[in-house]
Amino acid sequence: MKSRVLVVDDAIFMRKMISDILEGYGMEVVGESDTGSDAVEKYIELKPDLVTMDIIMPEMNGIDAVRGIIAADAQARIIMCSALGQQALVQDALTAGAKDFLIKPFNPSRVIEVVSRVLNLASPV
Amino acid sequence: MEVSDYKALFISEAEDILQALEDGIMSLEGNRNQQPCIEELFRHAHNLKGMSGAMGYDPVVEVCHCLESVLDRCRKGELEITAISADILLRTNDLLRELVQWQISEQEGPRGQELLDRVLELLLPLSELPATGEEGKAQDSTAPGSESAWPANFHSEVTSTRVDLSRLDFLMDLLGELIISRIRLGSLVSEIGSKNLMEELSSSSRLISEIQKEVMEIRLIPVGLVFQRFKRLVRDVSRELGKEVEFKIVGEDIGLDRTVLESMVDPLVHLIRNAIDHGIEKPSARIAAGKSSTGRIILSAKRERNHVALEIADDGRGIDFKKILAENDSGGASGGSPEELTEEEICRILTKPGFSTKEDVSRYSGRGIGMDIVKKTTDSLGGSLHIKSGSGRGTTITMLIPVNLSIIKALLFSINGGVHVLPIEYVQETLRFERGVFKTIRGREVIQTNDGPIPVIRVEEIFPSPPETGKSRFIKVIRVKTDEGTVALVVNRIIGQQDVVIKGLPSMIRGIGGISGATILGSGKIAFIWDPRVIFQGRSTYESDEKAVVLED
Amino acid sequence: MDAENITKKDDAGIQLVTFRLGNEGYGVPVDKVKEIIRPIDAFPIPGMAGPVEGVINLRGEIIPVLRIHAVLGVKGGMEETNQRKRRIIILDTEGGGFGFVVDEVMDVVRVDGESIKSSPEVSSDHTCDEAMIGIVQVAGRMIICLDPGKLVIECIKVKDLVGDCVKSGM
Repeated sequence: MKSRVLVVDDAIFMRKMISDILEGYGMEVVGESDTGSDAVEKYIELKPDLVTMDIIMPEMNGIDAVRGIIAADAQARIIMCSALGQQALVQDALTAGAKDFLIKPFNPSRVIEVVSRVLNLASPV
Repeated sequence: MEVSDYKALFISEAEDILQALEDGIMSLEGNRNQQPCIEELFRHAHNLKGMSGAMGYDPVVEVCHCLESVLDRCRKGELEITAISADILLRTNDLLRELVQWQISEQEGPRGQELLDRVLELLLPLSELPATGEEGKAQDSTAPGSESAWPANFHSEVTSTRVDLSRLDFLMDLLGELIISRIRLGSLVSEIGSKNLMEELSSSSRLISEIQKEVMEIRLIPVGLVFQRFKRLVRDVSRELGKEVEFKIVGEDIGLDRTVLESMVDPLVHLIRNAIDHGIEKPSARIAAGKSSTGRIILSAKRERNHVALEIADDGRGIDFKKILAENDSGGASGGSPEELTEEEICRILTKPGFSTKEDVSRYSGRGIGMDIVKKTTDSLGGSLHIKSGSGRGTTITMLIPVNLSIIKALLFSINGGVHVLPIEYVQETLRFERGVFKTIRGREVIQTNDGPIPVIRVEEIFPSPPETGKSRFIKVIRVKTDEGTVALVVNRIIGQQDVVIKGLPSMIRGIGGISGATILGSGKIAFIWDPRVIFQGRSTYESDEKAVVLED
Repeated sequence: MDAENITKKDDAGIQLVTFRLGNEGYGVPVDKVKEIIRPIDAFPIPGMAGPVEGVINLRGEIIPVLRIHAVLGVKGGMEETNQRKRRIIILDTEGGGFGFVVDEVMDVVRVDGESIKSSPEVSSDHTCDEAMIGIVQVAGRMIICLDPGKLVIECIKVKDLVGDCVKSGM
């Protein structure tokens, strides 16, 4: 079965880019969000297998969104998408429960590598 | 994955971001709670940086990075946004916009480096970055705050799709073809006279009109997209003229056909400049008049059935009717006191070509388009212009514009073999006279009607063409009414009323006096749509002979 | 665009559609030519004299047709006797599409960009000199290369002089 992904980024451009990479790899982008709060709602509604999460967004930033999603589903698999120089923020996100991170601009093979690693994490029973 | 696939997306989103940056920077000034604004600006710069990085637009990345670090200093409280630094940020944004355009155009040459140098020269002193633009400065404070002081429309909705405007235009064109083909089919079917065919055709006609309605709704774009640009205009013009202006926008979400909206830009620019230049007084004068030192201009849009009212209201000094009357004493609108001037008369005087009440020609008046062009534009869109003003109480100018104009009801007539189109709202009635009923009053042919004599106009007076040669017993006349009067237009044949699809004119022939557009008829012939004001241009009608007003620019 | 720019475009030279106006040979870059059609009557535009003869309906698109002979100051041409070879060339430029009637479409030739020589000052009293990029020799014949974009601009200039009705108050 196709893996279902929720793509969160406030820039349409970035959403399109990552969606294309993921879909090219045979995944299904089931939803897109442009704010942290919307991401939390969509996660609860769609229960995707994977979330790619931007950090700087309006209304609720990516780290708070990770906290919100993890609060709703401790097993959620979230990958942070950050820019160079946001190490501290990425660290916060990982502490909050994100599984891994990607650095923009995206390198497709790196995206796939990280995504498959996170998807293959044995889900704790 | 091809980077060029993303170019179109980049262009449209970068444009939005640059506009959002500009709006954001402007709202920083005089805003007590700058933090949320700065967070937003930071986020926009950050997004643009990310997108540009993905596109390989390195100079843009560099500028955005620099901008980010300036904004970072602002949010840490290390840098205060003053009018001067807002100016620098605005100029940065202008250069950034140019740089983005340069990147998009994929041109070679020194221009890019030149722009980059100029913008870095502006920004680096504020940023505390090493002048080499070294990467990797950590921005380690998180973006807080769910409560933001930003208007809701700052965030786009994910439920919508972006469609390239040219595709909507294409859809509209196809629809035009479909309507033309329906008309053609209709005439074929009525020749055959089959009842079943007729019924089927009328049901498909209904469907076509529904598609038409839907496509037209889709073509509507929110006026806010254009209104936002004026914030900058108001800021720049009021600064230059030493006036304090608070600018408010109302009804940003109101939709208007995009071609209509585009043609409203110039008139709106003119009206806003007028409001600042002629309307709003200098702070000292306002205080002397017992008003607050800051003037107020409200730009609003309101939907009224099939029209949108675009309104510009200022609380300035209002229009000086006494002066207008004094300047008009050669003809006088009504010859009476200012109180006796009706709204219509004010409007008529103000929109005479070249009219101006301001003696000293400042940078913002006496050039570019005048009120006459504002009027002309609203007229050509099938709208109307309304002016309300009271001395000392400000001026309100309203333009009522049809929401859609791509398809209009029109009267078709022929002259010398060519088919012509007149929008139906200018047609009062069509008449038939026996030859020889025309009389002359002071050398001008007139026709006697129940409402008195009206002047007769022949087409060769308007467009140079051989005089009409038909020798039929009857003369067909269209009684045309515009704001400037009524005339009887002599034509060869009246074809009838129908819906026509307006096609824009190619740029090479745009702006011909008297022609506002063209349409393609069922026969494939091209017919021209008249701007009836041409009938009154360059000649006085019987009516206006009496009160011709001559004004100097 | 000047001769230098046009030549820079393609190292292998540029392709020109060449055509005859009267006794003169002209050429336009092939990538600017949208199509070539048999002559159809243009609908005259009311009140418009000057460079535009009228408009044609090209599959639902309204395309202006230039009086190219007059615009370029070509003597002769449009002879009544030999209409069979007459065509309308439709060009696509940034300033919009337009067409013009030529007496004959001759050929599509590839010329070396460097062989286009700037034109000598032959016709100085004509407004459309700007639109002429240069002259190239093709098979012993002189071909005057035109810049379609400039042609549009020149024609709009001329039109503005003619179309006086709209100018009031500007």
